Amino acid sequence: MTETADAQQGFDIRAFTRSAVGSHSDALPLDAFAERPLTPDTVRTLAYLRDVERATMHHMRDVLVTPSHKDARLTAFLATWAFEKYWIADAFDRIVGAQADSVHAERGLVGRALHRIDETRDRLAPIGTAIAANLIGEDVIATHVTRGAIDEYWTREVYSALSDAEARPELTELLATFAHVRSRHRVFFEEEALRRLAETDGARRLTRAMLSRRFLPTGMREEPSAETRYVFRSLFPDARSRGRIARIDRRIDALPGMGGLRVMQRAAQRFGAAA
Amino acid sequence: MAFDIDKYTKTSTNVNWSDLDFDEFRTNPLPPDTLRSIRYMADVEYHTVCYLRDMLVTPSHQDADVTGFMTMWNREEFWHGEALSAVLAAHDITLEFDELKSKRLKLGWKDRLDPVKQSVLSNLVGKDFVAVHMIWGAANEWSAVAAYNRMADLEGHPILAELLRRIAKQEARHVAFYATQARERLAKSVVAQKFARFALSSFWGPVGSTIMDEAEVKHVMSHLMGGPDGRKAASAIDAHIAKMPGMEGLTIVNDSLDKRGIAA
Repeated sequence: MTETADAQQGFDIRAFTRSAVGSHSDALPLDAFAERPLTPDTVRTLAYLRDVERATMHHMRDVLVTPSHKDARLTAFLATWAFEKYWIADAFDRIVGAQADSVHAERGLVGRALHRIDETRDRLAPIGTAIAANLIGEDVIATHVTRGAIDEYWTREVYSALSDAEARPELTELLATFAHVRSRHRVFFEEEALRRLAETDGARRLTRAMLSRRFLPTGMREEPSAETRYVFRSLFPDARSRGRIARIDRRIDALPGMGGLRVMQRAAQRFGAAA
Repeated sequence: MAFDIDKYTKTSTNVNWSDLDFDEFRTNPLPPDTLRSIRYMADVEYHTVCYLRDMLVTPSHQDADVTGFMTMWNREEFWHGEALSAVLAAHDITLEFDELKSKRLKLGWKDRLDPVKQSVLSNLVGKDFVAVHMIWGAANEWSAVAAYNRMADLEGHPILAELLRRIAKQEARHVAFYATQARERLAKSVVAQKFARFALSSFWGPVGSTIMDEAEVKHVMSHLMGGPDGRKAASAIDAHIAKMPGMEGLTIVNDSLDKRGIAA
């Protein structure tokens, strides 16, 4: 494929695919964490982030059964995106697993299957999704890319809240690395969302409907609600945290037709965080 | 042979061709027939995501080892598409993302209903269906290895041959994954064996035959699998499949060649 054709569309997919960031295992400060263990709270949060990250392929299924899979530019992006997310999950898993007395380690090692996904619902889901999404057509892609952008807004605030809570330079640096890897995901999804939402009424209506229905970032719905509640409460306990949640909502407000939904503030309220 | 998923993911990389002198294609270009086959292969590699989609609607994706593999596999195949597309570009043939998109759009309703069909089928049969996916994947990957090696031999072009060997080497790792999974899962269940045998003998077709025009399928099959040497490669794939639990006597590759009237 030629350079110019893609460059005309903004985000440079080819450059992104070429410079994918793989395994972090050699750069993990496991020795430092062994010497001075992370707090159990942080380990619990990292286990949660790992499990949410591992839902990537599960989520990819829901995207691919829709017209999104027709878009070769989008699928080229997703191949690299899934790869980078795989290695972020792997890094979290190694850190959690190395914390000897961690109750969450087992979930990662033994729980290599996505146990918590409700079997029956999961089996029926792609059928409903495929039929509905294919009747709706291309507009459904807007919901996927908007979700992708919000996932990144959310993760950035989570990383930064976690860095503050643990206050360990090694962890802060690591999360900054992951945030950097993800910044390209954000740029892509945001650019796609801005364009697709601006394009059609249908795209805006569908996406707004998705965000109005007890929306949560990808993978969180499949986690036990006690864990989700824990993450909301521990990372967003005070006025400063309210600012973080509000910042995500302001970014969502800036997307065409998505104003005033208070998506994450409402989620934070549902899960008992200060908001 | 066990498959070490951690080792595989850790060493998964995009196929490299930066050290290969593609200018060689300017002075020593490939013949049109070969370019036509490469074009087919590039298309098929780029469409891996469609197969990924089909696998993800089955219970296969709930196993973290399987999802780890699929993440890497999907990306490696994408890069095979990129590498082959670079060979085409050296011959001034361009393959754009938009073109791939229109091909996927052309697949139309048949394709749209596919995940539904897969979902219904696979969930009726449950875990046994995963075995079908695995033997299916193994058959496809064996075919890919054979096709790339055949083309490298046939063409005898030093740069092309080296690139194709590199791609085939990655495909061989995919074979290892699928074959290991298929063997284990088939061995565990007679129902899975029966279902796999039925699926392969009734529905299997050469890789790419569901997305490419029949004329293109025929071209590639006679180019790479026709004649005594081609048939020998085809029979080797059939022999691999026949060694799987419950698959004795299947000759799906040769059958598909016979059906298309490809010379033996």
